[in-house]
Amino acid sequence: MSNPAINSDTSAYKLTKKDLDKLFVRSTWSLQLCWNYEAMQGLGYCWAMIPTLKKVYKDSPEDLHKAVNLHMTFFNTEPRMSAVIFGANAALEEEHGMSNPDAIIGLKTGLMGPFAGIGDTIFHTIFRAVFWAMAAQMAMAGNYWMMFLTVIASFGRLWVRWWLVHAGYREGKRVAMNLAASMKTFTEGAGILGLTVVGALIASIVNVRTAIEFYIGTDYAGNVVNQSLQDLLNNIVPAIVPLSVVLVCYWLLGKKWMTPARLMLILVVAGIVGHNIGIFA
Amino acid sequence: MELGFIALILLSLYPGLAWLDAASFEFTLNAPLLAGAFAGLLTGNLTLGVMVGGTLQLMALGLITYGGTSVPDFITGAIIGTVFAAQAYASAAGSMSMEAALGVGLAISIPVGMVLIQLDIARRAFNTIWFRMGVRFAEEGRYNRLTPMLYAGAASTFLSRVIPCFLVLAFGEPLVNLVLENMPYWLMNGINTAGGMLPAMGMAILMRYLPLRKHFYFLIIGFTIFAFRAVPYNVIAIALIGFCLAGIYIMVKKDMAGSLASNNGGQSNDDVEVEIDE
Repeated sequence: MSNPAINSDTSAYKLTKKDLDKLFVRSTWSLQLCWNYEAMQGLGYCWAMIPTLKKVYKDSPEDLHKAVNLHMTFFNTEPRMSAVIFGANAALEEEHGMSNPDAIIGLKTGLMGPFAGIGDTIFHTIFRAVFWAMAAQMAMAGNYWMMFLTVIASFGRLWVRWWLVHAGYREGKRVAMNLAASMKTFTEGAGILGLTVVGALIASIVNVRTAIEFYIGTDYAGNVVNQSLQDLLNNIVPAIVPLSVVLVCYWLLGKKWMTPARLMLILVVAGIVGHNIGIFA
Repeated sequence: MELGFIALILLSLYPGLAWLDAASFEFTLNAPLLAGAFAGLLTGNLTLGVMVGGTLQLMALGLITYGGTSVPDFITGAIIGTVFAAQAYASAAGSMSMEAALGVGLAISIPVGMVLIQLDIARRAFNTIWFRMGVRFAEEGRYNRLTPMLYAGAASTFLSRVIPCFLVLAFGEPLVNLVLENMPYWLMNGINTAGGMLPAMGMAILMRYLPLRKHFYFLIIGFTIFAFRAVPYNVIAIALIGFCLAGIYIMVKKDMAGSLASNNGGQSNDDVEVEIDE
C-alpha cells in the first residue's frame, strides 16, 4: 500500500473552515444541476468535491485521479441532507485518503438511504406544510406581503445545510451515523407539528361545500321548505365535507395504481360532475 | 391586452430561474404563489396572480421529486394561467367576475403543468450525455472540463422551462381565446368547484409522508380548533379534543412504562424494542 504524505500534519493538506464553506456553496449549487437517469447526482457530487480533493491530494496526482473517478459514479440522496455526507466525506478523505476507498464508498452509500427519509420529512414535508401553506393562505386572504414568508424561511433552511456540512466534517463518519439515529426523535416531533398544522389547513383551505337539500314539507302558504344539508352539518362538525374529501384522497393515494396526476384528474372530474348534478356548491 | 416584449421575456425567464433555484439554493422561487404573483404584477392584475398561484401552491404542497420522479410544473403553469386569465379578464371589461377569471386561470394552469412533466423527463434523459462525457474527461484527468458539463446540464434544465413558456405566451393566445370563448358556463363553474377541492390532494399527499397512523390525534386537534372558528363551539368539538387528549395521555403513559421497564432490565424488554422500532 503506497501511502503518500497525506497523513503528515503539514497544514497545506488540512481543510480549513473556508474550504468547508466553499464545499457548502459548491455542493448546494451543483448536486442536482446535471441530474440524469444514469448517475443521478453523480456529476454534481464529483464537481462539488474537486477543490477539496485537489487540496487533500496536492502531492499525489494518482490519488487525485482515483478519487475523482470514484466520485464520478451513481449518487442520489435528499439534497439538503447531502450536506452531512459532503462534510463527513471531506473528513474521511483528509484522514485516510485513497488508502481506503471502500470506506468512502461505504459512507456514501450507507448514508444515502437513511438520510433521504429524514430530509424529505423535515425539509420538504414540514417546510411546505407550514411555510408554503401559511404563505398561500395568508396571501389569498389579502396579506400580499406574506407570500415572501417562504423566501425568508428558506434562509433558515440554507443555514441548516451550512451547519450540516461543518457538523459532518467535525465528527467525521461517526457523528454522521449518530446523527441519523438521533434525528429520528426530532423527525417524529416535526411530524406532530406537521400533522397539527395540516389538520387546521384542511378546515381552512380545502373549500368545498355540499349543495344537497332535503325536502321537509310546505309552509302554510304552500311554499316548499327545504333543509340545506350544509347548514345541518355546520351545527355538528363544520368542514366535515373538506375532511371527507381529504380522507378519500388519502385512501386513494394508498392504492398502488394511484399517482398524484391521476388523483388530480379525478378531483377535477368530480368537481365538474358534482357541481352540475348538485352535490357540491 | 397585449403582453409587452420585455414582460414576455421576463415571464419566460422566470420558470428557468425558478427551476435552477429549486435544484440548488432553494429561495423558493419555485413556489407557484410567487410565480403567479410575478405574472399578475406584470399583467396588472396582482390579485388574480395571487389567487391562481396560491391555489396551485396549496395543490403542490406534497409534490416533490422523490428519488428523481418528475412532478407537474406548476411554476410555468401559474405564469401561463395567470397571464391568459388576466387578458381574458381585461378584455371582458367588467362582464367577467374575479371567480370566473380564477376558473380560467386554473383551467389553463393545471393541464399546462401536467403536459410539461414530459419535458422534465426528456431533460433528465438528455443530461445522461453530459454525464458520459464527464466520465471520459475524468478518466483523462481533465478535471476542469467537468465544469462545462455541469453547466450544460443546468442549461438543459433552464431551456426546457424557458422555451415552452415563451412559445405558449408568444403564440398561444389565439388558441387559448378560442377555447375560452367556447367554454360553456357549466364547465367554468365546475372547474371553480374543482379548484376548491384540489388543495385536498396537497393535504392528502402530506399526510402520506407524516406519521398519521401513530399521531392522528394531533391532526384532529388542529382540525377541530380551526373548523369551529366560524361557528359557536359545541359539545362535539369539546368531545373530539377530549378524545385526543385521552389518546395522547394513554400513549405517553405506555411509553413511560415501557422505558421504565427497560431501565430496570425487566423481561418486557422485547416489547419495548418493538415499540421503539415503530
